[in-house]
Amino acid sequence: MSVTTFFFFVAIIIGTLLITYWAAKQTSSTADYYAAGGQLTGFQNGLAIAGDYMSAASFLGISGAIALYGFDGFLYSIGFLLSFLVLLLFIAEPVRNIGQFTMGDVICARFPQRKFRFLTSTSTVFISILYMVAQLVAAGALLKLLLGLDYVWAVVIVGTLMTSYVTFGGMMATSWVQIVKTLLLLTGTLMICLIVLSRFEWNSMHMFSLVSEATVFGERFLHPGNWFQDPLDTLSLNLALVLGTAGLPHILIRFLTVKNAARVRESVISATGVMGIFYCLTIFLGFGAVLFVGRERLIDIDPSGNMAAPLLALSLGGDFLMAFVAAIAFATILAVVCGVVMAASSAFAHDFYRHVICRGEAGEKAQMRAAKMASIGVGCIAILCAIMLESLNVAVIVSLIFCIAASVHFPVLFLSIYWRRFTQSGAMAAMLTGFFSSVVLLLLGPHVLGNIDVWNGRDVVFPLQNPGIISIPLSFLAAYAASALTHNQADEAHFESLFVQTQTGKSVPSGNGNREL
Amino acid sequence: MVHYKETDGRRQRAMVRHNGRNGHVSRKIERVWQHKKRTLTWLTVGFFIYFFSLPLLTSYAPRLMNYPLVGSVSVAWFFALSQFAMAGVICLVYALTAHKWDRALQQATDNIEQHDNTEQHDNTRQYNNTRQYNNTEQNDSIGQHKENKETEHRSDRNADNEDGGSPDDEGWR
Repeated sequence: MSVTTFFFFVAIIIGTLLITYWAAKQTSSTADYYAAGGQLTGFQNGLAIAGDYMSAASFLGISGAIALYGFDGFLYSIGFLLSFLVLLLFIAEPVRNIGQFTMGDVICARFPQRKFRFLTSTSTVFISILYMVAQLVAAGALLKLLLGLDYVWAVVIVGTLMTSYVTFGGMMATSWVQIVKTLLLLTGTLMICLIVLSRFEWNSMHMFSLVSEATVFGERFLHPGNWFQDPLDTLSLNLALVLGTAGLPHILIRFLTVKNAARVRESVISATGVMGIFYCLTIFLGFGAVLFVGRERLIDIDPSGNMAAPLLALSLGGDFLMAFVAAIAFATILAVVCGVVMAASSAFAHDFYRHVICRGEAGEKAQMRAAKMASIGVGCIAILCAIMLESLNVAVIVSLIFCIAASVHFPVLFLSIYWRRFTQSGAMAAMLTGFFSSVVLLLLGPHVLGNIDVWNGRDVVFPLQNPGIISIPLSFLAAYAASALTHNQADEAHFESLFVQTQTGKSVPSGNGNREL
Repeated sequence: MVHYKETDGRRQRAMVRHNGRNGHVSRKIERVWQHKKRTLTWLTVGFFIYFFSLPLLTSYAPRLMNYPLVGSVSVAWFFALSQFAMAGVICLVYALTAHKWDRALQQATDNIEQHDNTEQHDNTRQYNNTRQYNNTEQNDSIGQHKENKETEHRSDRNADNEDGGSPDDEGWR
């Protein structure tokens, strides 16, 4: 590890710990802990959402994918970005208007039964742990490559840092770590892109024509189809990406940190703007890596291409720029995982501990204690899993996460907000069908079954890498069928009063059916 | 003039029936929602068709997509980049229209009677109240924030008592 790299890493660690120290002093109630007291402005929250969402998969993964496969890598950028339109149009504002601290609040505003608290908290914690494990495995591999740190130590360092931000600083620390990360990431990316462009005399067309001659693909490098060959699989992936974001608990709880729906709108629009700039720039990162590092060298160092951005920085600006980019990648991972720990911790403490175990009667102090214990607990589980699963294929986990989010959370959220005849049996059916169909289809698909020697990849039961195109409609279908069968359960009076609240943020009592059971 | 379809009429009647004296508010909200629903439907249909035609065209019409438009940059790249512009346009249209909805809803709910009949004993619930935030905006210190929270809580409880207290009160219907 060079002195510069060490310096940058220590600076990031000290900076984020200072933020946590400051945030810990601001955090005195559960409202502060879970939702930063609703004090963030729309733009601040927009930056934090961008920081929460743009994971290592975006920065390192997409630039690597573009460097290896050209156009197909860029499809990911578009899917990730456009998923925010679904949030903007349908989910974000209603979530703010009826939610309090967690995704469970939103679903339980429609179905106040404790079983829904239990289900949503379980699925949130499950998705969050999966997400953390995927990020920690990636972080371990990255720090091993960048710093020469031992894998186990790398995972332990990142895991301990993320847990301490959340335990001590709650949502306030998480938000500001994410804001700082977004600013760093944008600055770093912009800097590299400007250097890349300056090497081509600011002519991006020239860059495109050079790239089309630089790889073994030749002209085909710029054409679609180098990576995604199955049209149905491509469609399925895009569907899961676009709808999955609207079901990610760590993104949904970010909407609860501002004071009203108008601020939520500002947040989502500014996040979309910031991410739009970033995802556009991934083209330059990817192409720059092809031209200045070379495809062969990229594959030599890391076959998945994840080192494209740091290696590009090394060849453009030497050790200094590489150290800076490595530190940005480190901050990127930290900011994302602490957002995820926050989601898991609030789901456990608020939904499970307060509403399921204590039946809504837990005091402030007990809730804070439960939330802190929960963040330490999930942090430890994630660290242990990540250490045991070093060889885990991160892509499988990420596709599973998006698929579960799109088939378990999205249908229930969407229908609870907008469908008057949705019943609790329908919600239950949608959640269970979404969960089991996505997990079973993924297990039967080429990712898992295709990798088992006996099957040798020839006889996979389900041909698609991403089961979204089946599991998402299946979940909606289950919701419809079960709601139709149990139409006498539908509480339209409650829906109407809730509907006014989703639209205006002001509650109108329905007179029945909206009490906690 | 807004024309309601049969289902809309049913929703409207249900809202009036169940929201009792806030029925007139519901009707206004319903009118805004009809407009909002139309706009959202069009935006979503446009966005989905435009977005999903990218993977579909790259899969099923590769010759069109690979046609070089400027230098070696093909149609696919321009189409892909135009998705960013599409996102920008949708954000802009939504932001501008949502502003109007906000104002209309604000007018509709200006006289809404604020009741929180779910968990009066629970002070964190108050945090969710829109008015609560308006108070916190003027008060920077956390201490004052809490004080306000309590005052607000008490006044809401009083209002509730004046109305007869129980959430099951006939007055709601």
